[in-house]
Amino acid sequence: MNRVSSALLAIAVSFGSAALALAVSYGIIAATGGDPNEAARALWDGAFGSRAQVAGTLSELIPLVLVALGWIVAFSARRINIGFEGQILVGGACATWVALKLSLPHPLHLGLATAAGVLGGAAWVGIAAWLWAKRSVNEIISTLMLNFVAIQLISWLVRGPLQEETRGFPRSAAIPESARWPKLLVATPLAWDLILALAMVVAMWFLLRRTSFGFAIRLTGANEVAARHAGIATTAVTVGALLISGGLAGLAGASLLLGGESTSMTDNFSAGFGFTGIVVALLARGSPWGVVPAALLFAALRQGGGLVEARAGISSALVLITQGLVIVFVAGSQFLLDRQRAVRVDATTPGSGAPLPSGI
Amino acid sequence: MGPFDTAWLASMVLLSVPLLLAATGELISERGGVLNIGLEGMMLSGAFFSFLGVYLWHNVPLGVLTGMGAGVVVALIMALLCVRLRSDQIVVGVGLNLLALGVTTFTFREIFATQAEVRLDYPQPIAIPGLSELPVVGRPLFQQTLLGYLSFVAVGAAWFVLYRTSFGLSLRAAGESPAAADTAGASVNRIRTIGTCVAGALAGAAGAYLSVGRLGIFNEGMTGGRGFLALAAVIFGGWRPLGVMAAALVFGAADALQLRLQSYESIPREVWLVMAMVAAAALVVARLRRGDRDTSVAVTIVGGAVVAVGVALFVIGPEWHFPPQLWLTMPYVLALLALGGLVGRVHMPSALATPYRRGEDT
Amino acid sequence: MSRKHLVASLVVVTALVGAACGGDDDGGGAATTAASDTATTAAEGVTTAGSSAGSTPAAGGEDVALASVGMALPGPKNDKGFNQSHYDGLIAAGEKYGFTPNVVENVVDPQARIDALKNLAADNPLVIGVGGEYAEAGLTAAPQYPDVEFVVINGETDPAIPNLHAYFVRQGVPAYIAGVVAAELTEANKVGYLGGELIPPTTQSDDGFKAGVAASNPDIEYASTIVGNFNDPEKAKEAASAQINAGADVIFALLDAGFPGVEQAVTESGKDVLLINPIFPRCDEGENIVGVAFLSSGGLVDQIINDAGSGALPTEPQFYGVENEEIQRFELCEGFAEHQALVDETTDAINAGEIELPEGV
Repeated sequence: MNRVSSALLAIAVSFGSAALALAVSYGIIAATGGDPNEAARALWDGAFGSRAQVAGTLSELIPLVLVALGWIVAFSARRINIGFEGQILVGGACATWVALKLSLPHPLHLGLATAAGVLGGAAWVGIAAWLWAKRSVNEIISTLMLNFVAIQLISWLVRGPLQEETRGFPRSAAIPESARWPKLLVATPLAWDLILALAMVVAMWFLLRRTSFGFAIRLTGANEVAARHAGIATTAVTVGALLISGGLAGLAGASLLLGGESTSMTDNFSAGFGFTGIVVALLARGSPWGVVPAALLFAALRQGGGLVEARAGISSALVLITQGLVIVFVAGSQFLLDRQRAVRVDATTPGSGAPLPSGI
Repeated sequence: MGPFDTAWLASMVLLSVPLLLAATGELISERGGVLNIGLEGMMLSGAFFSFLGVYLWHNVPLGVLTGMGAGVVVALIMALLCVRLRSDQIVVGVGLNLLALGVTTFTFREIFATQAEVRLDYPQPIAIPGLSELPVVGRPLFQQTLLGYLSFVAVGAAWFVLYRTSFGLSLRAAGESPAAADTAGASVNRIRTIGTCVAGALAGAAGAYLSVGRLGIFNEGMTGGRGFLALAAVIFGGWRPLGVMAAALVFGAADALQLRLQSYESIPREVWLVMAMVAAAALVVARLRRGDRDTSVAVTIVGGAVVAVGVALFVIGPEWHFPPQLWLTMPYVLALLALGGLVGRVHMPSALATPYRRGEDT
Repeated sequence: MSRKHLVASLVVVTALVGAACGGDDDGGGAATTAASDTATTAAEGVTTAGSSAGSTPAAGGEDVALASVGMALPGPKNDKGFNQSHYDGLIAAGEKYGFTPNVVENVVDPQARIDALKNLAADNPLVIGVGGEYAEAGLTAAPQYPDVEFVVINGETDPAIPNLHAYFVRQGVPAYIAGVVAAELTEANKVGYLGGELIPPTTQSDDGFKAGVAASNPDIEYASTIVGNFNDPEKAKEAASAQINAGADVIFALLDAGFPGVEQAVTESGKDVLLINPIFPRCDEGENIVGVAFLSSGGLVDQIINDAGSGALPTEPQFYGVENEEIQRFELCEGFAEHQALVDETTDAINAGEIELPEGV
């Protein structure tokens, strides 16, 4: 099978499995006395029914795209970063801090706050990267644990140092306009950071496929021993990949707070994007370009799901079931593509220890 | 001794039991190489289906078995997707958590929503004669429900299986070097599936303990993150049965402590003393273990510093009050410190979270 | 592979943008989620997003029947506490006034809360956001749907947003009365407070209860524990055990689904501990339940519906202490009726402004 048809097969399998999950939900709704057609219509309307809804969907695209890119970069070095939730939170907190504590004119303030977000996310994953580099700690575990630490950190910040003056609600003071992204479409959550996110897609593609650093990352990921023999400082390269990965998540966090509709930072503003983004990356089969349609699917499901409950009266539990099914079916269907790929000669060196996990 | 009284000990053990059960099961699974992010979903399924079982059959042990069965079902899905089909363990785990929350919430509402708050009878603790009369530790340790005792038995069983049976040997091999285990004739996939199912069964039991073992009620999402706490306990326990038990008890102790400390204006002196004592004990243990020179020195310095600080604070008795978030984050920070080697050496199974594939497709 | 994906994504995005721009009709003829084609400022650009079922949104002064009302809850609608009381109130009002209730629940993150209010506003002339969590969401969503009335319970208003209203239930006030009663009842001179999450209702009732106790007898010891979760009975049980063990014999527990854990802790301790809870009366659950800091969300919702129907939604936040006993009051269970005079006296004193409540309560 050549590359084009294998790509089309990948799209078909991935989106097909999502469709299958939706079909199962359809059946559950019908079986329990709901109106599945109304639910389906509501799902569509919620995602694409009007300009405002499309804008909402596109704005949810941004964190998904960024996290998925982060996954791909880390995974290219054969590292599995699952700490995006925490990196989003810490990045967002750093961006909020800069936004609130400094007083600067508009584009500069925004730029600095965004940069702080990137650095915050990178620093947070940096803890895990350091543990990996210096203590051989598996980053899956460390990034997972750091998520929970981040949650408590934000909880403390919005009830303590960053809390708004009236001390009435657990949220930060309102983020000033000078630090916010201008809206792409007024009265919607969609702001110009969409362009930044799409630019990151190009940037990551370029980084991985057209720069020597990107090549070093991929070579390290494919065969660490060979990369070292080729003179690549594999540890530094891997740490670099992880830092970029965390930085992208931090950017997502900054984006959520500076570009979305929320006026301040509160608990749980990461809203699960840190995990859904991983599923998006899986769906995109590791391709930065593929991230965009994959993220669009999940953004649509998320955005549309809200209207399904409001309009069609489908319980939030069923919406959860649908989301779970989509994730499980999409993840579970990847073997169909692996089977076909396994026939091709891979870059895996036999006997190099643990084989490549699926999804690359 | 300030907040450290018999009631605190009792609370510590009670809070530790669900963690202990789930963490022991997860230990088995992870030693085989499978990381169950979906542990939370298995626990919640266990909580709900055991509740349903007791409601239908008015029999607590049967209900607990039902809950364990539900956990196994979720584990089988996990095993099918991740072990057999080599799907990504993290993503499937996340998906299963969502599914479990959705399915249990949905089913709970379908069956129970129209009724008044349903409360079932729950078992009373059984006192071990003689032992339960011991001063201080008698009541907390030796007056538990059956499931509470079984959780400690489970730790012993896990130790036995891991280190004294051939299955345990194959399991550990599957987690360290699946290719070698495969060459030696073990069926890596089958072993890992079994390991995952053990995790599912014990996580289901943990959930059952929460709902029908202690309270007789079910609330949507009642596991509240305990599954992830169990994951942290496995890490902090260094992937060893006794370590995991100690970790679960430490987490339970900290939780019981923080609930009590909130009532104090500032942290009582006894806490600092205990901190110093624990650090001293950990230091002794660390020195007794083999370790490389650099780490030994670092550990001694850090450990010594903690002891000194603890004693100083005990003497001074400052008016400090920690925010609750600090306590809530402590288990995860401890896990990270353990990973970093600051609390003795831990060894993670080398093939954790990596699906196994032979040179060609099996 | 990469080029194909690039083309595919561009096609998809273009198609979607085209679809959105091309028309506003949705697939099914149900209520439209119309947003104007021209992207102008929020106040002007969004056209009417009312229910298509035939009712007109409440305009000033008219007595209009509402065809449907939307409600967004931060938690589960069956928690036998804060969320459920508002949910039940809406359902009851729906039956009484003949409108369709549309409820969204378990909305846990800030953007989703904004979306929930907007989604409901697309189909309902009146949208109620329950809880301070929706305060910010109301400020964001209301300007985008100027013909829909938004009410946020415990929310904020802004003079520039005329269709956003707030009804503020000061849960600390009946808690104060509870404190006075607790001071009377405690024999060990030790009382406790159990809270769920660290949100304003928790701090308000904690402060109110504490003030009520202290005002009656400053020597009574007071302990306060935040369990961290409104719906975790195991934690609640342990927290209650800790307080009972430390000697508390009257406990006020603002825990929704976690409350049974507290009750069990009392039973298992074998001690004579009295309990007070907010919102739902639980007198039939045990003889040691003293009373309830009653919050009739049903009454409140009814009030809101009435105000909306008659175009009388307040421009300033409307505060409720205990002056309107349909909405909030402290209610004793039968077994403790002998303290009714004390309750009445305190209530009257508060309403007359004679008692100074702590700031924020």
